[in-house]
Amino acid sequence: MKRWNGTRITGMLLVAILCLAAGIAGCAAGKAAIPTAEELYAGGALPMGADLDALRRGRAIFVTECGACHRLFPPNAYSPEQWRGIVKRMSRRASLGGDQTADLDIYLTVASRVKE
Amino acid sequence: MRTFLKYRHHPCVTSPPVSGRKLLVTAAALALLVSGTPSRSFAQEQTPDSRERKIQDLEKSVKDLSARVDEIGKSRSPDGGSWMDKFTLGGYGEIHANFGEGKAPDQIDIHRLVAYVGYEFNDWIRFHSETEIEHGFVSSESGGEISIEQAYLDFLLSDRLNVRFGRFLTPIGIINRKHEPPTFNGVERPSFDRFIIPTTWFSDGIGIFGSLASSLKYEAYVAGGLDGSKFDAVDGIREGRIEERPSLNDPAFMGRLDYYPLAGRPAAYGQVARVGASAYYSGLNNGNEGNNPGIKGDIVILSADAEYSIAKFDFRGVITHERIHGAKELGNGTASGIFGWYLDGGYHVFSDAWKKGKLAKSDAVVFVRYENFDTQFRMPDGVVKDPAGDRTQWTGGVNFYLTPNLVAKADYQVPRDGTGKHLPNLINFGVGWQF
Repeated sequence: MKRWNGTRITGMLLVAILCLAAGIAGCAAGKAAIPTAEELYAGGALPMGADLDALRRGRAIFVTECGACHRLFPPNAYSPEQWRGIVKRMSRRASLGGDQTADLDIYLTVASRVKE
Repeated sequence: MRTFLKYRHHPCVTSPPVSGRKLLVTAAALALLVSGTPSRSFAQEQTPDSRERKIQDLEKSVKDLSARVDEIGKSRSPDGGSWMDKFTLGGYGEIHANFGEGKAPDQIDIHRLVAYVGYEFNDWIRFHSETEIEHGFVSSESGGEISIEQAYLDFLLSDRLNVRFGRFLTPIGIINRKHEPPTFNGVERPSFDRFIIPTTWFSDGIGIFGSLASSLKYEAYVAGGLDGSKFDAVDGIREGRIEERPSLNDPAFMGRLDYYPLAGRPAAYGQVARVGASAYYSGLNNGNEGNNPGIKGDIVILSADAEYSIAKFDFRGVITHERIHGAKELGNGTASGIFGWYLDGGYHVFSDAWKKGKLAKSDAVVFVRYENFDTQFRMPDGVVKDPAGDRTQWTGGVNFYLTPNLVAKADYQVPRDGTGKHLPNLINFGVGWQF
């Protein structure tokens, strides 16, 4: 019982505070979203090869592969040309296959044009 | 022709350059031209049928040459660049200044300098490596070290199944896999990631990885295991890592799953979430260069971790339990149970209105982290618990990102342990980068 006294109770309080902060954050805006494939598809003006499935796959790769190694940067923080260079370089470091790289490239090219 | 010969004889180039396509087509066209404008006497000897056959043969030759050139083009790097384009260079590093309360030593420390080199053999075989120097100077009398942190080959077979061979990061926790300074809050890595998950922890072996679904990834490996004779009361399993030539006598089996619940769904306020679980099992009779310590025992590690971002808030946490069988026989005050966890929360305070000019890509995060871990959590019968293994630590501070990959950090740490003695609080400053 002694094990759960003192500092561990402090830790539990921290958990509660963080959960409360998350709740408050849910009501706050201010961070650029990562647009879904459906939102981008509905926005129209898609480049060649950018069908809905490719956008879905590209977004999933962005979240799961890019986010596995570093913070995710909002797609609209860089231009399509900048993303092309970043994707080319980083897809090698992340050991992405050719199809995965192409899907990621398509998603970021389209998503980078979305204004906040 | 001179250009072609120059590349052909270059020791590092095994295929003609891209301009070779033009060259070969030109050569074929010249051959066609020469054959199509024969000497008058030769032409006079040919019948219309034989001339038609000749033209057909030449057309076939041109097609064959074009196909060959295309084949060469495909065998080169995907972007058609030079062989140098197949290399990927990078790295990360961090320089710290640590100030301890009272008589605790103050220091400046080039803590880590890491060089990354990768190479793309073709579109499905990749090499990755990281070589690290710690603490700026390496000698037999210093604490510095140089080590190969990663050196592995990836064989990309499909999205679902790929093979990895070599030295890779043991897939447990968050920091062990993602430890570049811009990716975590605070100057130093969490103490949890020194004593519970002993980062940087690499394993030498073979395994598989891939995606079971668009939001579910996995890794599984078999590799050299830990040396249980080096476990102890306060450092836990840290010294049990074998960093040179690990024995394969009692191999380790390890794996992890990562689930991204929001990867394919609309998520308001930029929400990103990941939940991971990992497991590790290893026999403990392993030593360097196959010199095994002759002990019996094994370790089972179960760990869960999560990361969640919403609006301007980032949260992450890890919880880990380690069960050591045969701990009493290992000695050194080794516990039969080790347990720890931490939570870290950060808030992005850098206003969008400030993101102009040189600060257009800048950001700042204030954070607080609480760690609670005990390398003496459960003791074998008859072994006395060392209270120094039962620790907590508060850390609060700020990360200022000049650009996304260059961060200046400052924090204040309050460490405590079960001895009741006052441990010096720490003020740390640091600069870290990755590229």
